This record gives sequence, structure tokens and C-alpha cells, in this order.
Amino acid sequence: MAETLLRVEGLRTYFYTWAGVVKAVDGVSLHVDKGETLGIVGESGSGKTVTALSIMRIVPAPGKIIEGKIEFQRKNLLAESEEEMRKLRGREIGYIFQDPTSTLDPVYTVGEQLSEVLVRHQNLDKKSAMDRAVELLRIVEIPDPEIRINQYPHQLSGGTKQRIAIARAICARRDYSGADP
Amino acid sequence: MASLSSRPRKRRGSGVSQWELAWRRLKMNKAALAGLVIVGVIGVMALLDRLIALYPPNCNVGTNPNCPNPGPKPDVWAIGIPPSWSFPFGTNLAGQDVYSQIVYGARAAFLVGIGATAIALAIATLIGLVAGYFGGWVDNVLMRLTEVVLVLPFFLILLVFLRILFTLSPGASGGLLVIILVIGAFSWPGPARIIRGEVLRVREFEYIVASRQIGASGFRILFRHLFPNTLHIIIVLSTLQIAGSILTEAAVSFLGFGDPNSITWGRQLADASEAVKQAWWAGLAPGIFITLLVMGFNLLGNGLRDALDPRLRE
Amino acid sequence: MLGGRRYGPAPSDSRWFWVRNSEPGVLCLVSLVKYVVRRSLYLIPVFLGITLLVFSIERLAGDPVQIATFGNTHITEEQRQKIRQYYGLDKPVYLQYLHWLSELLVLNLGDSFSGGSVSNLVGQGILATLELQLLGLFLSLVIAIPIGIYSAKRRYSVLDVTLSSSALVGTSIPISFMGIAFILIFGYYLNLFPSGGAQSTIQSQYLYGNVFLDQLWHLTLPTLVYTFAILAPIVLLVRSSMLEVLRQDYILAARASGLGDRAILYKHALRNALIPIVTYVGLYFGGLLAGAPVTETVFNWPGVGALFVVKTNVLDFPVIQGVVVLITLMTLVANLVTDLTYAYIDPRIRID
Repeated sequence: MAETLLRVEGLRTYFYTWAGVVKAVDGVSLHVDKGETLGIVGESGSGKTVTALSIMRIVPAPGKIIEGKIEFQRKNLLAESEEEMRKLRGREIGYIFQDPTSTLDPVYTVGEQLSEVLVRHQNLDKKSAMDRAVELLRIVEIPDPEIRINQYPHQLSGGTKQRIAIARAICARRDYSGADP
Repeated sequence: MASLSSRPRKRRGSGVSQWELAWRRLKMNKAALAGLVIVGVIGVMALLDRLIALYPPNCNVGTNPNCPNPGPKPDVWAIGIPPSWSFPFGTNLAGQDVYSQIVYGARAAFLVGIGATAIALAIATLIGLVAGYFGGWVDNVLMRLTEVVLVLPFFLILLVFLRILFTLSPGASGGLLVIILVIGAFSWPGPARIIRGEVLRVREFEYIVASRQIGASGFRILFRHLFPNTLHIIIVLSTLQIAGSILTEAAVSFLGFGDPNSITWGRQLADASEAVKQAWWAGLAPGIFITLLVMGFNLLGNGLRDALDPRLRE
Repeated sequence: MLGGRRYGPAPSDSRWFWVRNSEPGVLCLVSLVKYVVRRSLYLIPVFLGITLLVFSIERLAGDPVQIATFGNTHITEEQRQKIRQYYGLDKPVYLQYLHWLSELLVLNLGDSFSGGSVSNLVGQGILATLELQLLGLFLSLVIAIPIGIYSAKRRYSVLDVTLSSSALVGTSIPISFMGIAFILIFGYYLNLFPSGGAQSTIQSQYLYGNVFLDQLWHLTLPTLVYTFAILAPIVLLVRSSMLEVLRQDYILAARASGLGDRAILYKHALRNALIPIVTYVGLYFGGLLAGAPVTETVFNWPGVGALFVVKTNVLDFPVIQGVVVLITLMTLVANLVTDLTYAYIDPRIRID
């Protein structure tokens, strides 16, 4: 029997806007087993993104998670402290945005943005983090990673940016070996 | 058999126009509503001026026994007395009823604000649209011109112009018109640049590019497509410009460069400041009213900006 | 730090002349210098245009001497003619303009109608104005930026509403009103501060007998008023800019990566949000010399703004021309510096 990595039960996330309450997620339950990939399909505006954000608990205001249970690594994520959640985000749970153009900060280089995640989660110093970042670019198959590492988001194509977003999401994984071609 | 239409149904696909949407969003913004109310109340005051003022304009009630007095008759030498029942805001040192002067001054505030803004935004819109749409050397020339005017110190040039004009024709009426014209003539560069920026943004929209490809002429595109799409920015800029123009007139009048023949709040502030220790209430009223009206337009402008922001469209 | 960077496509409203920089990794110092030189060259026609504009505005009104002595019945036409000859005003207009222009280029601003060189008059006022302006700007930024950040972070909280409303009042209140109110309250009724001037006229009145302290004492009220007037719009600007930035995807992405709130706020959000502030400060520096005619008049502060007001009142054209040209020049330079700063802090802007 496959081990369940993530289980969501009865999730409700509402947005309290000036126009009234928007029930973005109203009773969603799902589970993802180890080795499984779960695809959630829906029209735009049906709450797919909000569900994902709710799991990570980064739903922007005026949204609030009203009720539900999210089981991950034998913890109820909705009961965890913010500090605990921060440890999970980026490391155990990653998120990649739909739109690559705006997912990177325009005033910092790609290398700076990747390495800051590494520094945060793996306690590396700047230099090692940068080296690792170059490795990561190579892994997501971006050509000339040494050059790209010092470039700014606006200099890169959408596809490249998306790969970098992927790299950023997976870079801090605890079980990440780093030598994987 | 029950009729299918026994229950009134909303027509499918009946959309709400963007203006209605904006109006609804505006209504929910309490600050903007407050601004609207302020502007409305003072506007009504300006319209009804003679009806709600207590005394005729510029009438020195305290000193001039011949001053036709439709209101309650003062029974003392009423110069510079603090607020009382006959004089709600007190009188200034010329013996004028401050309340009545404020009421008359409201009209000038609106005239200057709206007049100067109309001129400035008309020029700005024209230049912004033409420069933004046609591009090329037209854009270059217009932007160069804009920069030259923008780089000039607005307020100082204003003072010089006003001084010259008022020196040449000291006693003439229409001094307010002069102020309106001058402020309007120098306020257009900033808004022009912003409008042009908006045109540059909008002009790449698909339906505009499509119209071009169908062969619509430049002017047609300009007026039927670009202009309505920049309207939201023009509206916001206008309200903010009104606020600015009122403040500018107040500053200019305070320094003594305004029209000596018109009743404006700025001038009342200036007059009162000379004798502020004896009759401070004469300065408090115009100061507060200027602040209120400007705040009203600012709140309204900010509210409109939020309500009309195209990126926030649901 | 400018070397070695490659620049991408410029936003639609950037400067419109281009320097080709296609070589990757070439020292961008070269293009920087080229840019500065080009802008400076382009300053020249603009400057000429301004001088022409200012000059014609005045001369449009007619003969300066006539205007300056308008209504003065004691001066005979003969005397007027003499004055004209002295100031070279009897020559044809274009010659006057060229003469003034040539004098300008050697930094001679001419003589005031009331005697004394324009440069002297302006020089005397500069220090006082700079004191007020620079102090005001510094204090405003130091106070307004934290307030704006806080307001954006705790949007709609009680403190935010209070601060934003106060800032709104601050942008709506006429400086003359605020100034006089302050003088009345703090100067007159509470007698804490002097009501005007930069320094006590009699030595015995010096605060604690010290000239420096006395000047500081006099500086307080005008600075207070002026600072409040400037910081109000900055608070609103910082707040709205922060709100705008905090809405962006990359901020949410940063949170999703597990970065701490402080890092996100100060490292990512603030850096992006401060870009419009740079514009504001840049504009401010442009109008530095004449930015406070009202404040200076209210507080009897002997700065360039007050000087201009007085001289314009009597239509002292040489002073008017001199000050306007000077300020315009400063504005042009400030614009150039602002654009360069933009290119430095925002990698999306190309030095073209």
C-alpha cells in the first residue's frame, strides 16, 4: 500500500472582500501518495491555485483558511506555527507559479535569488550557495549556467525563467543529492 | 401548464458596463465617498452663495453703516470680533463677516480649480494622445516641448506672469480668469507625459492593432479607441489637478500675487495673516476650507483611481 | 559595479536616444560616459530654449523700465531713458538677448535694478535655503519611509488609517496656513520659538548667548512646518508603492520558498518599492533652490525663495531672469542624475 504524503480534508478558504465573501475553496479533499502525481483540473477561477496556496498557508489577504485538515509528514499543517511552516516551505513543499514572467524579483540576479533560498534552508555560505546554484541551472538544462547566473530576469526568456523557478522550488530539498545529471 | 417565464430570470450574458462597475467600487470606498460629499457640500455652497451668505460680498459690516444689511443687525462696532450668533465665524479686521466671505470665496475656488484643470487637461490630453499614438518625430518634438515647460520652475514662472499681467491692467475685472489661464497654461506637461505613457501601453492592445490592420484611419483609432481607454487616467488626473490648482491659487494669493479684486480664500488667508494675533478666526476659516476642499478632491481622486484601475477588473 | 552588466529591453517610456552596446561584457563605463555627454549636449538646446522663453516672457510685457517704474510719478522720461541706457535696454531686443546670454555663459548674472549683482543676492540666500531644504528632505525621508512601510504592512489597521489620513491632510493643507498656525501657537502663545527670521537681531537675545544655538532655535519652526509638508506626500507614495509591490507574484514566490518576513520585506519589497521615491527625490533636488517661497515668506527666512518673491513683486528683471535660469539649470542636472541613478538601481533600465 502506498504511503500517503499529503492528505487534505474539507478545506475551506474564503476571501473576505469589499464585495462580499468569495468562497474560493469550499470543502476540498484530496490526497497524494508517495510516487504519485496528482493533477487538479478546473476552469480558471475555480480555486486550484488557492488550494495549493492554502496547503502552504500563504494565502494572501483578504483570504483566510476557515476550516479543514491538512496532513503532511504526520503533522496537521493548519495547526503548525508560522515558524514551522517556514521551515517546510521551499524545503519540503515547493511551489512553482503559472506565470514565469513575474515570479522572479526583477532587481536581483538569478544567482542571488537562487542562493538566498539555499542559504536560508541549507545554511550555506554565499560562495557555496552560488556554486550550487550554477549546478542547479545545469540540472534544469539551462545552457551556459555560469553566464546566466549573473543575469537579471528580464534578460531571460520565459522558458528559462520557468526552469529557474523549478530549480528554486527543488533546490533546498533535504534529500537532494546535488550530483544528479 | 406553468409558464416558463413565471419567475423573472436574469438575462444571460447581460454584462455590467465598466463604468457601472467602477461606480459600484467607488461607492464601497468610504474615503472616496467622504470626498464626494465634501466636494458636493462646498459645491452647493458655491452655487447658492448669495442665498446662504449673511451679508453682501466685501461689505464691511462693522464700519460701514450704509452697508445694505439683509441679515441681523449688529449693534456694536463689529471689527475683528470673535464668532457669535450674528457672525458665525466672526469678523475680520476690515469688519467683514468671515462666514459670508467664505461662502463667496467657494465660487472662486471651484472656478479656479475646474477652469485651470480644464485648460491644462485639454492640452495634456491632446498632446499625450497625439505624441503617444503617432510616435516618431511628432512624439520627439512634443516631448521636447513638454520637457522645456516641465523643467521651468512652475511656481516662480507663475508669479512672474501674474505680476506682469496684473501690473499692466491693475483695475480690470477678470483677474480670476487670468489666474485660471496662467495656471492652466503651465500645468499641462506632467499630465501629458502620463497620458502619453498610458497611450503607449494601450496602443499595443490587440483590438487596436487589429483595427489598424483592418485599415482604420489614425484619427478614428485615436478618438474611438485610444481616448476612451485613457479616459480613466484623465479623470483621475483631473481631480488631482483640481486639488493642486486650488492650493496653487491659495499660495499665489497669499504672497500677494493674486487678483486683488476677487474674493478668494487665498486672499482671505493672506489678509488675515497680517493681523492674525488680533483676529485669528479670520484666518482659521479660509485655511480650514481650503484644506477641506483640497482633501475632498484628493480623496475623490484616489478613490477614482482605485475604482477605475483597469488591472483590478474582476 | 556598473561594469560587466548586460542590459535588456528598456521600458516604453525611457529616454529615446540610443547608444549601441552589443558587445557582451564590454565595460559599460564607456556607454555611461557617452550617455552623459549626449545628455549634456542635448541640455544645450533645451537650455537655450528656456532662456529664450524666460526672456521673451518678460519682454512681452513691454519695456522693463516702464513696468518697473509703472505708476511712479516722480521719474521723468529722461531718467527712464538713462536707466535704459545703463542696463542696455535701449538696444534692439535680440541684441539684448544675445548680450544677456553671453554674460550668462561667463556666469555673470547681471545687476539687479536695485543695485548689487544678482549673483551676490542669490549667493546670500543660498545657504539659508539649502539649510531648510536639505534638512527638510532628510528628516522627511527618515520619517516617511518607515511610516509608509508600516502603513502598507498593516493596511487598514487603526494606526494605518490615522497615519494615512494625517498624511492626506498634510498634502491638502496650504503651507501658509500651517506656517502661520505654528507661529501663532508655538511662537506667540506658547512662546517657545521665535516667530521668524534666521537669527535674533540683537546679540543679547541669542538663545543661551550662543549664535549657533540661536540659529538652530530659529530653524526649528520653519523646518518643522516644511518637513511635514514634504513628508506627507512621501508617506502616501511609499505606502502605495509598497502595496503595489507586495501584490506581485515574486513576493508570494519568495514566501513560498520559505524566506523570512523580514528578508522579504526589506530585501525584495523595499528595494522595488523605493524606485518611484527616487523620482520624487530627484524632482525635489531640481527645485531645491526655489522650492520654498511660501515657507520662507511666512517665516521671514532669508532664502532664495523669499528673495525671488520680493524681487518679482517689484519686477526686478535681472534677478528674475537669473534665478529662473539658475533653477532651470539645476533641474536639468538633477534630471540627468536621477536618470543615471535609475539605471544604476533598476537593472531593467538600459543606459541608452
